[in-house]
Amino acid sequence: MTVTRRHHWLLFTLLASGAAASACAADDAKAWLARMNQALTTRNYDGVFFHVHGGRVETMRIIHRVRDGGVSERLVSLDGSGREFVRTGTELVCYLPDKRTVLVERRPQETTLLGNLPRFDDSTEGFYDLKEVERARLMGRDTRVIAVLPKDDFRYGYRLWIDEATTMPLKTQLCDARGNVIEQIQFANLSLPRDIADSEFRPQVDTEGFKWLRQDSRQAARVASGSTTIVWRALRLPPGFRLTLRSAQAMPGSAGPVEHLVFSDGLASVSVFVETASDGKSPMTGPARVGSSSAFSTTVSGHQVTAVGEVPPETVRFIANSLEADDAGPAGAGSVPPPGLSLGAPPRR
Amino acid sequence: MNEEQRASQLSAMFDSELPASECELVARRLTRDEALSAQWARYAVIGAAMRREAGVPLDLRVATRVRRAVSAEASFSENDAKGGATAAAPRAKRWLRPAAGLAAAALVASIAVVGLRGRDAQLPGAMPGAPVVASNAPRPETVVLGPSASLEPESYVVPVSSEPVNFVPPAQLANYVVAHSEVSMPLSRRNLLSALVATEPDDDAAAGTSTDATAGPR
Repeated sequence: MTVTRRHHWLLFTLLASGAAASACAADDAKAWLARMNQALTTRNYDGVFFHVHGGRVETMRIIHRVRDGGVSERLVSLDGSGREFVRTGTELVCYLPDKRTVLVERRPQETTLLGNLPRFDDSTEGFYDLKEVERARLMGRDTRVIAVLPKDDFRYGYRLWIDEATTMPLKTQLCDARGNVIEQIQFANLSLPRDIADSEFRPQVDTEGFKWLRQDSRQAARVASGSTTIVWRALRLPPGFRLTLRSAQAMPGSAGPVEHLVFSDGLASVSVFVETASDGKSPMTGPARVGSSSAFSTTVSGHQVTAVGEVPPETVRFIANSLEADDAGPAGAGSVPPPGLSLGAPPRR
Repeated sequence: MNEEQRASQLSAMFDSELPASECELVARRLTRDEALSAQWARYAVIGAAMRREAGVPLDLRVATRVRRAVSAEASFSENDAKGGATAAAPRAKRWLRPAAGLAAAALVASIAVVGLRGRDAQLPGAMPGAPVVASNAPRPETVVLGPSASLEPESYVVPVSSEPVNFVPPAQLANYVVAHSEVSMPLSRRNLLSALVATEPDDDAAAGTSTDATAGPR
């Protein structure tokens, strides 16, 4: 073998081993991500964490319990607003003491805990790079630092400090495509008890004199009977996003059934809500935000269309502006929902 | 409770060694006690410096000095332990070592914090006592996100849109966020709900109207 050939062979070996190592690292990172999602969904945990966003720090406590396949969850702001979110089974209650308002929603019975979760599959990898960056000590524990790097400006990325022993994320940073940290959550204290008492899910808010907003029972009946009349679809979608879920649901405060379309790239998801514009209410228009989530509202064919997601503002605007009422044919920007995803009641024409 | 006990409690909380019940109390105290809040900020800066944490804005020279100060103190404490310290006061010792390290590092880090506060004053939305991980110009040391290495400063501020952002009536937006959280990845779900529960700086828009509002629970 000549020297040149030997060099080529060496170069090829190095490249091949580098590619293999890179693929292996991505697989490892993907596995850690899956284990983390599993832990967040199926474990009992009780922790206090700091939520940092927009230069503000707020302390919160989260309690999560899975018992007999049912999820109970309580998230409470320990300072600031004093707001609480409590989920017990199919009922979701949001206490907003600063607004003297309580929102109550009912969700369909879950079939499986992990059933409707976005999945990081091969197509997702075209839009993110996954890397296991390093092992690090955090809160006195060994963690794996995983970076999820978006390849364009249509989605956000993450840096995750995942506890090796429990696979719980001890710290997470939401970052834009340039690496700017938009939001950070870091636990100050986290326990994973075998069981959590029912009393831990009782809200501390005194709701005397509060306004309670809940689903209209007539509206819920209409939704159950599948009385939606228009099929909505997105003409164009940002790269990688596809329709993954479609349903109609009753919502507190809404005059009629609300169409709920979900578009996902496997990691990020955007919900689009379509409802008939109320006579007495001026329609929402333009951008809005809740924490790091973006929202964009517009009016299409007498309906209010609002896209919401933990994505950059441009992405929700893009999707909201692409929606149109389709009187003929199936919905979904040329996409067919993957099998196994629950679709809402079939629309009538 | 004296200063030392408070510091000890705070440090335990930072190390995730404080029971949840006490943690909640400390967290509440943090919001009222400016001195304690500032101390928490210093711990966070020091912790970030020691870990060479990516995304946490720190002057690299300051970070290096902090790490050196702490490692010097830590090795000193170990030597001291070999030289005659007994196990008579393990609890006290537990605090002495990090406390000594933190004290030395705090001297260095406080310069950074004070310096940062000066800069915070120029940033919209900056909050006293919360410059912890939120302010100065960062350069990730170990992780660089995104396709290009940008020279733009990092921050904890949501990218500013060129047009004004409307605040949707909170009740309706809250409905949407809750419904969306149900179809999101668990991590996103927690972030979404945290944002919903957190106070928004401009969160004083009128509450949404309802077709089925009642005066109390049913």
